Amino acid sequence: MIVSPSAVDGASESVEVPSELAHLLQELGESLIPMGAVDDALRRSGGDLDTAVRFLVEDARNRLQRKVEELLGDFSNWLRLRAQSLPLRLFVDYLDTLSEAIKQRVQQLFSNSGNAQLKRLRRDLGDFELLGLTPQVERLRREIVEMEARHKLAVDLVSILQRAIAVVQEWRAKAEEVRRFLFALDRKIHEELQSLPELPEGTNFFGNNLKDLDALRTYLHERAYSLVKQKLPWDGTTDSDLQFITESICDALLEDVPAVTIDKWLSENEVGNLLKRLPVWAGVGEKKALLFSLPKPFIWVEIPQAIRKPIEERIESGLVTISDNSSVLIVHIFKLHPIQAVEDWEEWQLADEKVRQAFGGFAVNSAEPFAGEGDDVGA
Amino acid sequence: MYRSVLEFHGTTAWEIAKALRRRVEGTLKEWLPLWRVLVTETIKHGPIDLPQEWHFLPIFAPLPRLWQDKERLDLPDWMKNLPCSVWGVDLRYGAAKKPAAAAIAFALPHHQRDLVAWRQQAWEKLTDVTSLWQELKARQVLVDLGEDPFIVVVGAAGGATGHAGVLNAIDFWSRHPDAPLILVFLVGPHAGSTFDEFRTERANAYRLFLSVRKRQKVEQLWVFWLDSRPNQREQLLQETANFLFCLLARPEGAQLRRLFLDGFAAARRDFGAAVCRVDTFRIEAPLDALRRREALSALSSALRTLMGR
Repeated sequence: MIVSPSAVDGASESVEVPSELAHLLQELGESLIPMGAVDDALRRSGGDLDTAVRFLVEDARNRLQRKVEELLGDFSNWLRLRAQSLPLRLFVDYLDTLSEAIKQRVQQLFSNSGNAQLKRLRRDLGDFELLGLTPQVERLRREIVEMEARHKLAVDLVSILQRAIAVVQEWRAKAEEVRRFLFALDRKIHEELQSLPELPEGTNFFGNNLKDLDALRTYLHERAYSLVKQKLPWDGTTDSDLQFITESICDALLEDVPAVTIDKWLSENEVGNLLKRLPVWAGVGEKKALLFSLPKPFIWVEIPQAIRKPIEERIESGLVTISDNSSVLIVHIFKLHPIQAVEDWEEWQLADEKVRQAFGGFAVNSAEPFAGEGDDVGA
Repeated sequence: MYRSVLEFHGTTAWEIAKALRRRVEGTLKEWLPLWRVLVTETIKHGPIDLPQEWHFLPIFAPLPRLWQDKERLDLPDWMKNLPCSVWGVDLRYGAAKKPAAAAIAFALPHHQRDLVAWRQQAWEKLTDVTSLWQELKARQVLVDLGEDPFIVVVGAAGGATGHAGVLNAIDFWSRHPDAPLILVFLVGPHAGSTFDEFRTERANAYRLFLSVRKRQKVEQLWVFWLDSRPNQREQLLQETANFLFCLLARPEGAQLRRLFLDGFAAARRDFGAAVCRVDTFRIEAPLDALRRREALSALSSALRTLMGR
């Protein structure tokens, strides 16, 4: 993005400048003194150098006046393209670099008066005229006219470059606004993600509809990146942009997200992952699970789906489907508990004993007699 | 959809029955003749606005008055020997967490007669495929009647009416000549119990577990235990109703039942020693939300790249 432009201000050294500045300088150069303009000014002035310089400057200023808005518009559009191709932080860095480069160029224009060179050229011109060296005289006259005109037009160039700096600053301000917008968007999406269910890692809820979840996610990332860049509000933001951009990008991305087809019977890995997430607070403790060699729970995921209710009248046209009202996933976990492993089972027994004591030993907390109380648990 | 006799005993089970009715009618518009429902409660009068497949049997008995003549009642001896604090329970206001009092009411001959009659009639209606087919056809509903009907029994583990009613139902259906599959759902005791009743609820549940365990001698009876924290009672009742809906109406209901019988724990199941605890977790995840999460995650990661983070 940094190139070596042709110098337009007479400076002979090659300076590395951002390409947008190089383009601008090149365009300015072509507008300032086009090919043949010097000869034309000399011809119109009847050979008088000062008059030729004045003609040249006037023509250049007229051209600049006509073209400056267009040039700065192009300059701004180049920056827009740059904004769309770079990550925001790099774009901001780029704007800072560009602004600095323009300021340096302005500084060069101020410092490079060219008076010494002009004096030398005028002295050489006098010598060549005395010697009658016509070709050299003509060349020097053109050089002097062009150099003097450029010298006088430097102030115009500086003015335009300062306006270019202002354009860069505008983009810098826009970038700051877009940055704030992106942060707000990021925060909003983060909040919504927090409210959405977090699914177990490694569980492919797209079933046979998707072979490679990682590949899908990589693709979605790239697509989202491209969509966000296209939709960034460089021309100003409004409060509604957040929702609008989120929804429009989501809609576009969802076209590539397959339908969820969760297997009803989860794999062993998926069960493990799910259990890590679910609050299985009422389960058997780890120690008891070991003590009783408990099998792993059986998990069944109830998925919202249509229920078919065939109606005779419509058999010919197929089944009538009634939508199940449920729109949420329900996870059922079945665990076999030996009753001795039931949490706080000892407390249950104790409560039973106390109730029986309160009723003189009768099992009023039972719907049947327990003749052999001692056999209850071990029976 | 599958044929079933459903019995709901006691207040908690009645709440579940109502939730199931709402779910069925919300989804299928109407209650279907495939499901015969019995509700019992220790009150004097039951509701009247029930679907025709439903039967509400108030298990009321003036126990304090009957106590005077208990020796002449056709009841088991152990009931007659129960202390007067049990016979003094006014069943118009529930069984006061005393399963023994509820058991007396269930055992009274006229209640027993009503229960047996309804159960036999319900079973006959469900197993008379021709007649059922006609009835369904009249309602313009066609269902595969190939699956055997089964029994669902629901009651609170820590209560009284549910406790007595569940055992009453198990004893009837486990002796039924057709030996239908019996799925029992015990709810609690922790869900919904107050601090004062906590010990009693646990004691009742302890006894009910033991009683159920004594009956788990054949692979006909499968007992599920559902419980939650006290403040999650409403959610638990709703989820229990939802699960019953799965067994009755969803396509995978039959597969689930088969798995309980033959599948996931067949080799490890030890009848008479285990209950199957069911924990239900609702992931508030409309399926669209799963897809949206993928999209938003991609967008979030793209934003971070864009911001150069």
